[in-house]
Amino acid sequence: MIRIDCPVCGLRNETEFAYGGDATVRRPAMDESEMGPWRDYVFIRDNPRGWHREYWHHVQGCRQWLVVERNTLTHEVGTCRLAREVAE
Amino acid sequence: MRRLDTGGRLNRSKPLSVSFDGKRLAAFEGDTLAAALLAGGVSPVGRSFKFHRPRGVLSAGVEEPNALVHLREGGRHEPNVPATMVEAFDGLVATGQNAWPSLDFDIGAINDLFSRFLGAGFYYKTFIGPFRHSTRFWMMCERFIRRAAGLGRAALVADPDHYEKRSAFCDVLVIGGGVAGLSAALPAARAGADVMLVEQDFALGGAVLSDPAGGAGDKWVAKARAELEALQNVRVLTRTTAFGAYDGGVYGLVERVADHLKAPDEHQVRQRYWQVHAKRAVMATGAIERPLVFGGNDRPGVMLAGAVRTYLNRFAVLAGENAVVTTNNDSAYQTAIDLARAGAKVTLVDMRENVDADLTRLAREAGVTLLTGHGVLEVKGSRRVTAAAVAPIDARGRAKAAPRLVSVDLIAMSGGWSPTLHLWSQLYGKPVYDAASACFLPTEEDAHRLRAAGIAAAAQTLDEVIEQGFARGVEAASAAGFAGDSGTRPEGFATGPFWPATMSPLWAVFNADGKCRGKAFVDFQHDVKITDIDQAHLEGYVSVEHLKRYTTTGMATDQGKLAGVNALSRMAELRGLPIAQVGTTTFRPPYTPVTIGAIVGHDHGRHFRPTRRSAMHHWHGENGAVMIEAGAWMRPWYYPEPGEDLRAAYIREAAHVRRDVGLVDVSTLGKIAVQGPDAAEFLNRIYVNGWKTLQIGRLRYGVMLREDGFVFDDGATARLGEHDYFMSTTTANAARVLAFAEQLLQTEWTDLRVHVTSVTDQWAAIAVAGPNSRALLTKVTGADLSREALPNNHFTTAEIDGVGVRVHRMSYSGELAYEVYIPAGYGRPVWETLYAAGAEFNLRPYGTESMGALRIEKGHVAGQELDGRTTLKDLNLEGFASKKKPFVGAVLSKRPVLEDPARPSLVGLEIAGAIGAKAGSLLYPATGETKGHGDGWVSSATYSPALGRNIAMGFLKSGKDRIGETIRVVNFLGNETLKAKVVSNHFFDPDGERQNG
Amino acid sequence: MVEALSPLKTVCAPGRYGADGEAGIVLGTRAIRSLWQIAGWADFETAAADLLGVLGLNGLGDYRTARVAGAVTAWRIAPDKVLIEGCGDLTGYGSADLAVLDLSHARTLIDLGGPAARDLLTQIVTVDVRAATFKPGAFLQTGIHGVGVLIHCIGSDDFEIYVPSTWAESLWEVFCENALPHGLLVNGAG
Repeated sequence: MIRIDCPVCGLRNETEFAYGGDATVRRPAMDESEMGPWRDYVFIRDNPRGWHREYWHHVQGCRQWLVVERNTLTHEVGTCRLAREVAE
Repeated sequence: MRRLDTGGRLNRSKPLSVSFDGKRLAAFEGDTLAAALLAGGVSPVGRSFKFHRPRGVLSAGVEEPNALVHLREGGRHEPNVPATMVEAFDGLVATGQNAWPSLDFDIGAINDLFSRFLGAGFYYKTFIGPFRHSTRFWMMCERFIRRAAGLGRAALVADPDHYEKRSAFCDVLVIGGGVAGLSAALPAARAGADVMLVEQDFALGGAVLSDPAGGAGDKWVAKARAELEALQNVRVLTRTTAFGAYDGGVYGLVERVADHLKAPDEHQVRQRYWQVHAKRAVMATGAIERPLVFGGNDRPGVMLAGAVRTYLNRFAVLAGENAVVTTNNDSAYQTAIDLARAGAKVTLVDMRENVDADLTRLAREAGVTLLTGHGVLEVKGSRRVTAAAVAPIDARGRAKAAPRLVSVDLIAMSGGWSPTLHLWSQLYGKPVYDAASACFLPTEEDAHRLRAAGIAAAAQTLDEVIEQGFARGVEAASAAGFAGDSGTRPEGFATGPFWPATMSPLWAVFNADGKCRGKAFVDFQHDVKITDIDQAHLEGYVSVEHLKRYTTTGMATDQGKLAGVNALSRMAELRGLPIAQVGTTTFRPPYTPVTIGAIVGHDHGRHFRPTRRSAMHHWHGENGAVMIEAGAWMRPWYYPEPGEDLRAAYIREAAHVRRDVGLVDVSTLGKIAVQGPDAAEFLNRIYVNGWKTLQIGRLRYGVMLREDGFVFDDGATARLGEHDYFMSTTTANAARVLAFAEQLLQTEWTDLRVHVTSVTDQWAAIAVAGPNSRALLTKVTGADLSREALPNNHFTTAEIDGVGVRVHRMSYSGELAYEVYIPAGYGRPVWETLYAAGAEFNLRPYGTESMGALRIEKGHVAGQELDGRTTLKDLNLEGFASKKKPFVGAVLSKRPVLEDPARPSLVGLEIAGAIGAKAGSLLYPATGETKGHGDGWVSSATYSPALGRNIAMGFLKSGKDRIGETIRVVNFLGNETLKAKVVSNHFFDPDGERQNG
Repeated sequence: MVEALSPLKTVCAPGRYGADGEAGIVLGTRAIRSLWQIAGWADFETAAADLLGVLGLNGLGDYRTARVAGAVTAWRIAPDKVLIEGCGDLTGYGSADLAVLDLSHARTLIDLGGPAARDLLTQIVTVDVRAATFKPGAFLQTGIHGVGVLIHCIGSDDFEIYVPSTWAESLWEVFCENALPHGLLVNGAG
């Protein structure tokens, strides 16, 4: 059971969250008209062994999108921050 | 085998009625079924999995591979229950399993004679080799194997009992209520930590329970228990097994709340599944004794030495009058001594040459005949052991001389012990082999939040057990933030000898040629013999994981609790490597079998998932609607009149809407409040069409794409105010659209001042459709709803029965239609008001089936068309996409592969004949073979009352260029081919005169 | 004007159910007077100050503690969102800087009490509801059967649970079924 320390709600079971994908990719600007950056954003993913940054949505709690550090090898969970704060 | 008149931990004043295969057994409160079976002299108690060999009770715990029984009857019937784990209760009914017609005379036992054909990998080999070209022969074998090999029978009727789940939190979880566990729980609790102590047995004490009753150990346990029970911050759960250790300090427990009763009390649960979140845990789970390997080591009457002692001291059952105790370590001496003291004739066959002098003296003083440097080569007897062939052995366990027969009715064996480290291994991987104590041990790492103590960590003396337990308890509490006074460590007490440090690595006894005599078993429950390991090795298997699967060692319900180390020892020997290098297989949850019922709890039947109901839900039921699931929602499907089936009802309902007026519950549509000064910009980005010009009081249909350019969802959005919009989504995508909007706003568009909030629950919604809809709504609202005052795609506020509602003029059916949004609590009263007022307009309710028929006639797309694989172009909706602004999915929707004009695109199909098409049917040209996936598929189909024929929508390659073509619609499931004419999907009123009227 | 109906009307049947003896669980419901969400952005605190002042609330509060002023209760459910009960119609407070939203019908209240109330919660939610952790005045948001709910601890063994109205009947039945072993007393709509 992965447990995520939501900055709003506290430490919760992963069953309250929805996995939201890779948090290391950034969406191209709205006016980006080239195919390449969009292809990379939507389809191209690294599959790292070890620490990774992921989006998790606290869908059964405060409904905040979080950026969670997770070790893909050990399932260890590191820092959990509000995505909006990471984005700024 | 007999029950002694005194001793044990039984309540002799409480006799219990227990039966096995119809035979009544004497039992007392405090017994297990296995103890009662032994006391009653029942043998055999089971038949083995493959060879149907007679088997008796081997152990006294969870590791029991042989004494598996059918427990209880009817819906409470349970197969494969180890008799050793069944606490005796009054009215207990058990029967033997895997035998026909009876345990005593079992036809399947013939398998034993054919055992050489049923060796390692038998099952896999039937796929290849001589059988390769003969499917029929394989099928015959398969049937034979399935019938002959097996365990118990599952119940065929529903379980009447309730199960429950609980989520618990604690600072320190102590697993195991023996001396080590109690020693850990005490200091943690004294320091103030919230402690949970769990014990799978019904009594605390662990190994102490196998010592003679009334000794120093009992007093020690009683004192510790009393102190713990007096503390508020301690929860002690007995009859509770920790079966799984998971990431994040989460443990799975199953509490057998009422398994020791004939049936649970009314309203009470049978079992309870605990999900425990613990900051730290101490694993004080003890060890499981290993069998020795010799010919016939599976015969009834061959038992684990520790178990023999447990039956004697805890259950007052003398398992034999004439015993051979054979061992490779000191621990079995206590069994020999206790048996001799109880009056049995005992020969102790020690495989070691050199034994501690004090110990041999104690044994001799008790009357035990001692043979060192000897081993049991073979067992005689079939239903019951009658003699042991005992021979002097060398350092490799091979007989040095011919054996001599010793008459016995019991063989108690000890091949050493394996610490119970399953939970640790589930969490942290493979344990390491410790040559000094000849067992696998957990590694010590600071990062570990679960740590072993006591026998589970191969403690060598009782003082060490207490010391380790105490230290782990202090450490766990401190790591959990409780560094208070932990008090002093409890004093120890006198015990018998321990096994670590006294074990010889000998684990089997062979003939001089290195072969075992007869059948020598490694895995009793799966009937894996030592020769099967040899065979696997001969065939080139070296990895222990492969060995396990090829021979099925350790894959039975006991999960190899006894088989593991012996199989590894043989593999190591064959490969000429130390065990440490051969390694062990991975331990996975559950430690012991867990009933599905306990894991499911109440989440089955109507609570398999929760149900979502609109405010008008019960009106539909009360008025004859047949309901249908739509995701979690229940929706009215159709309202049959007497004699009507689904088809008759929906055709009538759809025709009624086009002729008069109907109302349908559309509360399930997703509704999202979009608020904030940048709301229009937000809508402009997520919808393909433009939103900046939408005025207050109007609404607009919108389509949104996913990031990858495929169509995501559609729906209408109304502008309620300067910064307030009301978005509607499809029923199916409501949650996904909201989550996607939140993601964009919180991760990427953090500069937009917009909030999105679900208001699906706030608003009930009723669609009123049909030529009379305006007249009806005008009557109930008194508002001016004329074409001029409220054109299509406008909304207005109004009152119905004093309730403020919003009336959106929009049409899904293609008729003059309105959607009325009502605060949910007033949903039903307003529906009823409309219904009553509608009598003069011939108002009828309609369901989702006729709603579907109406939208297909109109050519509107729905979930069947928006299936995640279709683009705007496929749906003929590309005209909606704005060319003036970027929107989500815009760029990737232009991928060349998606622009291919040959892609299947949306068309209408007029079906020839009286039979309608089935959604999912494939489309093929009028002639030619119907092979492959064809030119497209049918997405939605209905009978159209307006057109008087069957119609459908589908996706057809180059669809727009094929209007007028006749094609075939093939339903391979129904083996049905129809002809259809390709037409526009706008079947009915393509110019929209009716809805705009 | 017609009367609003509770989604629990058909299932909240007063009576004594389940195990005998003292009822371990008491369930009931009451109508929500008014429930509004206010939401803002970076300047949320400033934008909400006037309204909060009128309601007798000082500041936005934290994410774990309910704020009570007379008949008004407020919960900070997200960094930029506060849910307020008993506040009356807030339409007039909406602005470019403060989004107000009526959710009075979107939630239904389940009242949970009785000596076994915390035990019952452990059967239904997977958050820590031990008395030492989840004290009177605290609130939390979690899922019941995948449905997001807000649980407000209003007394040592008393809880108010706000559930989405369309799920209310089904979740009520989850509470009832799990309550039977404790003995269940159902009070009518209070």
